[in-house]
Amino acid sequence: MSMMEFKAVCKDYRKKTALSGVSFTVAKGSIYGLLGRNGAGKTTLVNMADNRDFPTSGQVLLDGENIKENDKALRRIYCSGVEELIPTYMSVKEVLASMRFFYKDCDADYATELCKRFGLDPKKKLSQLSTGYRMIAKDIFALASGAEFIFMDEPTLGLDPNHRELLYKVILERFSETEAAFVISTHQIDECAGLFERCLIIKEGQLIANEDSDKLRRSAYVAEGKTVDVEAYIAGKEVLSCESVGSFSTACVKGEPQNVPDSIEISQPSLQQLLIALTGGGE
Amino acid sequence: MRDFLRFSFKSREGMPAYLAFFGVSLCGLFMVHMVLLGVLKYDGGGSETVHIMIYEMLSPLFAAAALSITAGRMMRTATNGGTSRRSFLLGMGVLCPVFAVISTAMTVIAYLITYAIFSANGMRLSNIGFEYIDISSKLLLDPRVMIFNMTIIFSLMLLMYTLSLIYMGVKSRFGGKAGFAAAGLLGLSYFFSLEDYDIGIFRELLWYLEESSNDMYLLFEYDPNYPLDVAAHTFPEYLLIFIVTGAAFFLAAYLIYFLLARRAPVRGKV
Repeated sequence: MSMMEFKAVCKDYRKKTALSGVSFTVAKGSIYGLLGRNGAGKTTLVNMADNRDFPTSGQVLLDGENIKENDKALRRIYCSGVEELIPTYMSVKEVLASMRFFYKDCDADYATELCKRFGLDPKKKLSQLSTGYRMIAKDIFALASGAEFIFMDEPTLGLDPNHRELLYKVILERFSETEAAFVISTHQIDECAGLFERCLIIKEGQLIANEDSDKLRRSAYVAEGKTVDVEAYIAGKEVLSCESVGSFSTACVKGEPQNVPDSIEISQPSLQQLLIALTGGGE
Repeated sequence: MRDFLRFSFKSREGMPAYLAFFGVSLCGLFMVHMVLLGVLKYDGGGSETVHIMIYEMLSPLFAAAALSITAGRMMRTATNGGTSRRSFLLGMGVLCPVFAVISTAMTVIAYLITYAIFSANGMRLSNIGFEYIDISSKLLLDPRVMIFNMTIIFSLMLLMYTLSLIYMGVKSRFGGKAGFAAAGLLGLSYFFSLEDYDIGIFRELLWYLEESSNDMYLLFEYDPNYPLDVAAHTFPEYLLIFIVTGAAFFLAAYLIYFLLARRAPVRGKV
């Protein structure tokens, strides 16, 4: 099975370390969620995946080959993001035609079908599209690229709920057809939670979690109740986050719930709640 | 690199975009000539030779601007399309001379059309080759003068491309303002070298070019009565001096561009 491996990837800017020794593997046949707060390093990581930017140290390998200066490997990867790399005077159709110079498996018919489903006119120039439709166009380019490893950075930015739902459906359909690896970086965590098989959580440039989504959610629980009771219960436990509103508190605790008093209510955290707890709360 | 070259010649972002930018610039220059023709006619201009070199001086500058815009877009699209930086930069090394040849041909065609219009109005439009050689006006359209003219324009294209390459290289590492400043300084140093041979960092080389072109009239107006007055070089050698000088400047700038852009991140507007 084809694999992409990020090996101790570091990226330093003049005043900031964007990524610090990030290592993980992306395998074909899985959908990954790349999660983290703003400025955590998600986009930097996506940029490393197709040589838009280069790591200060570390390597990105595809089936054991370094992707740096490797056209053959780079053609198996497609990254779409918020940044406008494609000239906006081009129409969707023209972009697809130009993609075929590089991505031999780029499926123009499939792209046209997607345009119909999303209500996007492929003859329109990118500059004539609204923010949401421009993002849809980029998502269509990624889905139709025929690449084996598809990185989508904020694919739902500016999309209305209907289009978001359709996009999730389309991603799943495409995934089941092609078995390509999808790495989706998003802030719409609960909406996308059903898509992700694995979650990669980045905090301040470091990978703090790389786990199966369900296992990750089961790795913690939420304890709710009166502040006095909650504080007493969580004493000595690994608390990920604790918030109080009036005399009521909610704590996200790592591990399995044990010896739960009747005054405490236990529930499973959503992926979003867990991410907030893991990445420093809502402050 | 082969895929990138195919892309740059056939896709809309590549050569068609460059030709569109440059073509529009040439049309602009053509209009300037037509306005000038109108003014000269109004002033009662007769059968004199018009000594302006607008095409030769400005079209390389516009070509350099067109190259900067096109290359910037191609780099972003190609990188988005899984092209390595090395393939892109090596591809640019092939593309630039091809673009320079095409731009030179377009400039000469524009000149000839303009010349024909001026001739129809009883005037003659001079060209840079002719001005440099400083020979009798009968030889204005001598094929050798035209070939020399094309050689100078081609060399100027390569010379102006250096501004573009330095701009793109510095911009990729240090930002757009630094790129403009670096290209501006280089342009000024060319200007001062041509204007005054005592200042400017390229004065020796450019002085040699000037001397060569001034010396060339001996080839055209060789007098068998004074056999000592013979040109230092043959006609192809003079052409080669110009091409090699332009190519040397271009290669130096290309190397700087290659080194600066090879590891620079590619960014687009957010």
